[in-house]
Amino acid sequence: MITQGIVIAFLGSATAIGLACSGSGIGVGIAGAAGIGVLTEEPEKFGLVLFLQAFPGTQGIYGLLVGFWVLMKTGILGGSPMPITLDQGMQIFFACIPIGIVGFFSGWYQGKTAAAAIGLAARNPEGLGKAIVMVTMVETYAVFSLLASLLLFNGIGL
Amino acid sequence: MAVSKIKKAHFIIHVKLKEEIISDLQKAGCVQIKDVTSKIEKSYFSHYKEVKDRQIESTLSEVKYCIDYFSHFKSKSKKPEKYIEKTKKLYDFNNLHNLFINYKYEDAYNECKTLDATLKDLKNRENYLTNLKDYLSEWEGLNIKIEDLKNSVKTSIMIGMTEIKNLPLCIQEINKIGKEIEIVKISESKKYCKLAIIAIKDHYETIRKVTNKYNFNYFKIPEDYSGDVKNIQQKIQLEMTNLKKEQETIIEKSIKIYEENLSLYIIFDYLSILKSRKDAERYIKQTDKVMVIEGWTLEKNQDRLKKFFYDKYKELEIVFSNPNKNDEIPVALNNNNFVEPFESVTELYGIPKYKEFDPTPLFAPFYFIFFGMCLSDAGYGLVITLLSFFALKKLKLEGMAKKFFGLFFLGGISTFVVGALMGSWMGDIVNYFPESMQPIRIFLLEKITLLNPIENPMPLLIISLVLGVIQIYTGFIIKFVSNVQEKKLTTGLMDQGSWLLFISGIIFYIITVVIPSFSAMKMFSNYVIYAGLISLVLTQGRGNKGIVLKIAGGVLSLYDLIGYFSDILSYSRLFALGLSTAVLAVVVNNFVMLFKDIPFFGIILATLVFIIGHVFNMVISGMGAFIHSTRLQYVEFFTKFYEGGGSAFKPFKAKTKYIKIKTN
Repeated sequence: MITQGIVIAFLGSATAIGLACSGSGIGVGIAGAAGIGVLTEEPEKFGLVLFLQAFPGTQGIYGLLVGFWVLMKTGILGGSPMPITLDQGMQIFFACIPIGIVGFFSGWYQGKTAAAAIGLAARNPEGLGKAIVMVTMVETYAVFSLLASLLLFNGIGL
Repeated sequence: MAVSKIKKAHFIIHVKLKEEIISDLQKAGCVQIKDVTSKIEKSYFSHYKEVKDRQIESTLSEVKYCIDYFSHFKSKSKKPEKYIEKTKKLYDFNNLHNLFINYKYEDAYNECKTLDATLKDLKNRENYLTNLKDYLSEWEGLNIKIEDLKNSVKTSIMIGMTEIKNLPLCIQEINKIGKEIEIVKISESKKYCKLAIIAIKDHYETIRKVTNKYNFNYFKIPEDYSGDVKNIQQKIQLEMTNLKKEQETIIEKSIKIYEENLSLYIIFDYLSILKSRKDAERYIKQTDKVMVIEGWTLEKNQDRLKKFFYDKYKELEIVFSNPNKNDEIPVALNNNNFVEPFESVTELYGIPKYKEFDPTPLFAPFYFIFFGMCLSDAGYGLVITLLSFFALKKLKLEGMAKKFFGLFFLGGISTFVVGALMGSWMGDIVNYFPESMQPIRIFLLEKITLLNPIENPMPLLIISLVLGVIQIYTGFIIKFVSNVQEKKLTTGLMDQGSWLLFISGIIFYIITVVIPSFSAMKMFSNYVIYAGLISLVLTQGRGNKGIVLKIAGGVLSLYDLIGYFSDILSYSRLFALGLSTAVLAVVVNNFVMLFKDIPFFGIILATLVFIIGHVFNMVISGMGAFIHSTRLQYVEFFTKFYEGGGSAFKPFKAKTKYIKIKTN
């Protein structure tokens, strides 16, 4: 049964996936452009560059994760949506906000950091370990917002 | 504990023995030769003269030229490593020498050089022809023979094209020049018109000037051909096919030479070894008769070295001594089999200084658990364990790569255990088991499983935070112990002791609030907090001058509390990442079930989705598990006690690219 709540839940799921994946897209793009720059001179560093380029991709996965969780728990994915009230729908929407917004910005900025790390890896491979830590620092906030989204969703009590 | 003891070694030898000793040191492979040339002060040491063996360097560069040349064909033929592995796994150094003497590498080199040059010429010619062909295709309509275009004694023929919009004006102006001019339109396209202008020689220059004004594009006559354009095109086509054939024969020849001369790769390694010996000679100081090799060696190798060299040589003396405080002592880590793979994480951060202790055994158990919690799926754990096990067995890895695979092997085991405890087998695949396998399902989900984070996430979150508290405490205690070892007991008590007291008090207080049966202890927990608070305020500002600044510094230091609590909260990532692996796996399984119902090839599609989806999830989550477990060590744990920044012990030994050398 399609209720107003279900419609809002759709909005939530779409927000989480859409925003977080956009952020990852931007981030992976930035890192990839830097990576190609390195590869033109040192093609043998492909594996390393790909590894670093993948970092900003995780935000999109977190968004996808929350989006799918909403779809699963509300029964939309199974084809028989639960009768969700408008209030519950709003709650679901708000639960999706953290990973959506944070995923967008954190993916974007992690892309910039990853691009810098790729530059460092090209010139001084020994500094890679430290560079990875710097890149992971940006990821932290995406993980926290994922946590917040999951906990908020868990509090709704469907 | 885990930083190996290092001794300084001086080899005092007669100059005559220089080469033999250096080669023996390289074979022994356990001494790091120290560069002392910059420190030579005493005048009786003659200054180092650049020993460059031209022979070795030029030969090496020629062999490298051949190897580089072969690398273009390597993919089309078998790899050198495979061939070398098949013939013999370990090479004796003396055999290598004989191989080099008997092997005429120059022949291969000369052949490579000629082949390379011919191949380059052929490629250049091919490029030229391709360009010419492209150019001529514009002039396909020209039905005049090229040789007829050559100027006669009195007339000249000009062929070219110009834009149609310029055409009327251009013709008009040319016609003005004189009567002895004939203009013929050859062909016309939408934008361009091709013209032939025939005129007596006297008009040539004037016509040239006019046509240049109208951007007249002259036809470049391909001088070395005859016949009309179509004829020429056919000739070019024929020549190009021939060129291709010639190139192929050369490539075939090259592959043959490559296969006949795989020894080049062995020679390359042999020469690299010789070169590294020459390089090592630069670090040595010497007088006319005596030379001194200074270096580092592990304490455990001391006796072995002594025995080996004293048995072999007489004109030699080895002196071992303890390193000075001022020396920059290289560091070698030494850990048991369980801890060794985790050294890779330490090495990425920076290995400890010689006087520091090795943090690897201290974080290894944490890392082991964290990795498992981040990935937390029994199926993935099993796959990772098996893959890294085969990689370790089959690939015969060394150094960093071996440690990394060891890390993933252990991480896989941990993942398997944690995943089983959380009832995650490739997500919820157990739920799809057929009726006949119900007992297994019940056993896996109800007997083994302790908690299901998808249904009830809170316990896992609390476990993550508790692990965080334990690791932060461990960090404080380690720093305290090392302070005590450095005989700074009071510093330890004031810095780490106060913080431990304060944080314990707060946690104790939280427990009394959350768990009702502890509520009677509330007063006691308050006292602990006050004690911690007071000792922090009193001690943390002790570096400042004056009582007011001391107290102010103490109060300000309380701000660090926020840092410690955010450290602990940071461990919640263990929960978030673990849950995300599990949920993504469930999502993959949901998709598989959607595809399964498609008729006919539904099963194939479902299998594909299952494999791709789970491999993707495993790789991404595995990467996350590695990175975030590492980060927790670096940012949350190491900052409490660890500095790092030592330089690694790099013994002088034979480094080879393609073969392995027998060592004693």
